[in-house]
Order: sequence, then structure tokens, then C-alpha cells
Amino acid sequence: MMNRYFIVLLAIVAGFALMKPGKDPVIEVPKGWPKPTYDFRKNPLNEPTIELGRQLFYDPILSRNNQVSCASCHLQQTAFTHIDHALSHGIDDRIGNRNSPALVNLAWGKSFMWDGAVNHLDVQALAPIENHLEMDEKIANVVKKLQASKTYRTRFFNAFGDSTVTGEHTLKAISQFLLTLTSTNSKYDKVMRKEKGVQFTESEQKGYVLFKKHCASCHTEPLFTNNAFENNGLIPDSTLNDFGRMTITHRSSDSLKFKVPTLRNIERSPPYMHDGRFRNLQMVLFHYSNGIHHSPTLSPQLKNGIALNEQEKGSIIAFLKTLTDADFLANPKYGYPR
Amino acid sequence: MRGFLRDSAVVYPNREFSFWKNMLLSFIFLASFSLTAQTDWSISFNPVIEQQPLVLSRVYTIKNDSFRIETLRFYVSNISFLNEGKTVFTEPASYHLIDAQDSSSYRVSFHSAKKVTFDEIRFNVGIDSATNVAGALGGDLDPVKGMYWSWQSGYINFKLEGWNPESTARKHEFQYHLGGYITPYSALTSVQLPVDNVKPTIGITVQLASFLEQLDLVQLPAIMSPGERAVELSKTLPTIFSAK
Repeated sequence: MMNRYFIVLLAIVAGFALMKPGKDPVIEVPKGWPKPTYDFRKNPLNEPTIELGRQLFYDPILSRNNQVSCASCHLQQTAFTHIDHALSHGIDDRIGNRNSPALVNLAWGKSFMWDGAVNHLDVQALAPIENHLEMDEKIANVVKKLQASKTYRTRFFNAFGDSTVTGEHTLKAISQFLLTLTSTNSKYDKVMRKEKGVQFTESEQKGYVLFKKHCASCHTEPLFTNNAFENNGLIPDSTLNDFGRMTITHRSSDSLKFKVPTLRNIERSPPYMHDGRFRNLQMVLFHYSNGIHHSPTLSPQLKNGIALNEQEKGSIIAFLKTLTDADFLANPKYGYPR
Repeated sequence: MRGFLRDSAVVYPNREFSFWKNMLLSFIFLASFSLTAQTDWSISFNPVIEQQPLVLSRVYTIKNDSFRIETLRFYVSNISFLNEGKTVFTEPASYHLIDAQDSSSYRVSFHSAKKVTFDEIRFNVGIDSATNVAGALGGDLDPVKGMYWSWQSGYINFKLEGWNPESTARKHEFQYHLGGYITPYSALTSVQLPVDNVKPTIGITVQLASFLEQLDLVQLPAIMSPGERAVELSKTLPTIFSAK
């Protein structure tokens, strides 16, 4: 009996020793990509937990009136964001303060939300669940509702070996599903991998060269974000008075800075910017060429705007469209659970 | 673990006599210790308002001023015991939510394999920065406890809510949610108290009257986010603790 415990203990210790940080059987880190930020050792991915996370992601039980789910503002077909709305809307048709971000490659995220208010993927879901404009619920009550459901008790048991629902397990399950949302198979990725028969068109190639010159210092490959906060010269919207990162750090040097968003699947996730002010990519590029608003925290790279003619803008847009990952947008593992 | 110890305790036949002698001596040695030693002890937090124990929703009068406390909840973490300035016992994974709604949370128990003698206790009021960035945690640290800010990640170290006629907020209520871990607005404070370990339970008085006196209920009846004001008020927290 004792020896058996010892062997089990040894197996666990050996298991931990063999597991390398950032390497996980479910998430494949493409060659040349940085190590994920997420510490998988503290929440090792496994199928039943990922599946539980998917159920929770698509279940409006997370909201006060059981009508709003994560998927309400994060639809797979539109790169897990809310299109057609500048500001995403939540419970009782309340309008939020910002445009919901696309959910992709979150294992590499260093902070979450446009202002980095959330410091870890595990606690991200708390924000929309408890925001009165989004789901307007309390995590303690979500746990109570899940505990009352026999189906969920079974799912939690399958995932964690414990049918008692806790806030920790609820959040970790949602994280597991979110961590699987990796987009690594766009045309851009295939070209970079030198896959047979896949090549940039002339316009895409020109766009890529221009992109590397003018955009890549913030939208850094391969994640197409440097995970930093930047003021990209948007004139403040007086109806919102959103100062971005400064709200969190209280530092005036962070005024009007917002998280640099990834550009993966950008074609499918309009409108653009934290307040969804630009309906299309042409408007975004016009902003960078002609619309930069000067303020003390403006990113130095944008001091003189980005000089681009119409043809060059067209090339950059052609390149950006190579970041669309059809496999990601249609992957049945990410879809509504059946 | 125990299996491991048994396997390693190899007995050599030619040393059997000395082995048993050692065992006997060790037994006497340990037994003599356990007669005077405390290997199990506890601390008990006792929230009071002046001389009276705290009862939620009861009206208290301090210097002709009436108060009611509706919520008192705070974290005590990283508890350690010292003797003559040297750490003799550190509680592992030391995070405790003290909640006036649940008096069983007032007591924190310790166990040590060997005897400890101490004359000082140290603990933090609140949660350290590493734990604030560690994602979803369980037990007393589970966000369902109502001590985690959803809109901006981080724990609330100390939460006091109540009523006072002077409060300029709605229904004369007041709400102090003190927390924050990012420099320069770290609201974590540490407490050092001389204690006497003769008794198996050490009573720690939490004098809420001293905290209430610091409040400006007219100008600032609520603090609910990290920042300068939360840091300022948190600095007064160590003064409300005293050991009997």
C-alpha cells in the first residue's frame, strides 16, 4: 500500500520534472515562435477540461439573466469578436465602452483588455461576467448556478475529479478553451513555412515589405503585436473620454495608450480600434497616413504619420488579408458545442 | 512519503543493539520535549469596537458618533513566528480570509513537527504581488469570496463597509475596499507583534475604532480602487492589531 503511494508520488514528481515550461501536448508552438507566456504547469490542458471550458464559453448561464454568453461578443466566424458594432453591447441591450477584441493566440498574451486591466488569462472572464454593461452577474452566483446543474457537476467531475464547482475551476476551464484558440495556418504562415505552391502575389509581397518597414515595430511578427501599450494618434472621443492605460496605472505617461492588437484575421474583425471608430481597413490606413493627432504620449514612430500612396495602401491591405486563417475560423473544435 | 521513510530505514543486524538504544534514547528525548512543548497552537482574531466585540449591523456609539458595520473582511497572509528576531516557524501557503460573517474564520491553527518557542508574530494584511498575478486560485483566494476586483485584476486586501450619519454617500453608507499591488500603489502592509506563547491560543485584537477614526466620511466616504488614497489608508492598518 505504502509502496504504491510512493510509486504514484514518484510518477507525479517525474511528470513535473519532464514537463518543460510552455510546452504542452495540446498546443503546438510553431517553429520560430516565442515561448507562450501562459504557465501550463499550473493548469495542464486536457480534453475534458477544454470541453468544459467550451461549454461555459457558449453558455449564457454566465450572465445575470441567462441570455448573454461569451460568444455573444466573440463569434468564431468573425475571429471571436463582435462585428458591425463600434462598441460591443451586452445585457438588456446596454452599450459597452469599447470594441470587443478578437480572441486568438491568447497563450502568448502578457495582459488582457485594451488597457491591460487584466493581468492573467485565468481572471479575464471575471471582467465581462461582472461588468454591469456586459453580463452583470457575480462569479459566486455563476458557481451556484453551475453547482445546481447535474450536467455541469458531471462535467466538473470529469475535468477536475471533483463535482464541487469552484470559481477557480470555472475560470481555469474557460482559460483552457481560450488557450486552444491558436491561429497559425494563414496564407502568411504557409508562405513563411515555404509550403509548396503557396506564394505571395506581387501586391501582397510589396505590402509585406512596406508592412515590415512601417508597421512591424508595434505589430511584430509572428503574433503581430508587441503586447505593448501605444498611443497611435487617435483623436480622443469626447463622448467616451477613454484614457486607456492611464486609468490602470495612474501615470500621465500612459495617457491615451491602448494595447497593440494582433492583426491576425484582421480582415474578418471590423470595426477597428478600441472604440471601433473605423469601419474598414482603408479608413485605418488613411488614419496612419493623414489623420495622426499629436499629443505628448504619441508613439514616436508616428510623429510624421506614415507616408503612403494609394497603391501602397492597397498592397498593405492585400498583405493584411493573408493573415486570414480559414482553418481557424471554421475549426469545429472551436464552435458551438454539440 | 511515509513509504519512502520506511524503505530508507535500513537495519543492519550487527548494529541492532545500538539501533534500539538509539531508538529508546530518541523516544525519551522526544517525550521529554512534548511534555513542555507546543507543537499545535493557534491565533484568534477578535474584531472589536472599543471594548465591545464586533457584531455586524449593530449600532455602536463612539464619542457621540453612531456607526454600523455591515462587512468586515480582510486577508492575513505570510504568517511567521520569531524568537529573539530569528524566524522559527513560517506557515506554508499562508493565506487566510478573516470574515466577520463567519466567526470560524477568526481562528488560524498551526502545527509544527518540532517544538517552537517564539516571542513575536509577523503577518501581512493583504495579498503579496506574486499571488496577485498568479491567475485563478482556490480556497480563501477563490474570486467567489468577493475579495477580487473583476474589472482590474487584483485582490482587495481589506474591506470595511457600514453606515454613519456623517457619510455623504448614498444612504449614509461607507465602503472602503483597500488593495492594489502595482508600484507605487502597493497597499500591502505588514504587522509585527510581540506575543507570549505560553497559552495555546494567542488572541489578536482588531481595534476597528482606531480605523474608523482615520476616515473622512464627508470628503471620502468610499475608496474602491487601487491608488494613492488606498495606500494612505492602508498604512494605518497595522496600528489596529494588538496581541494580548
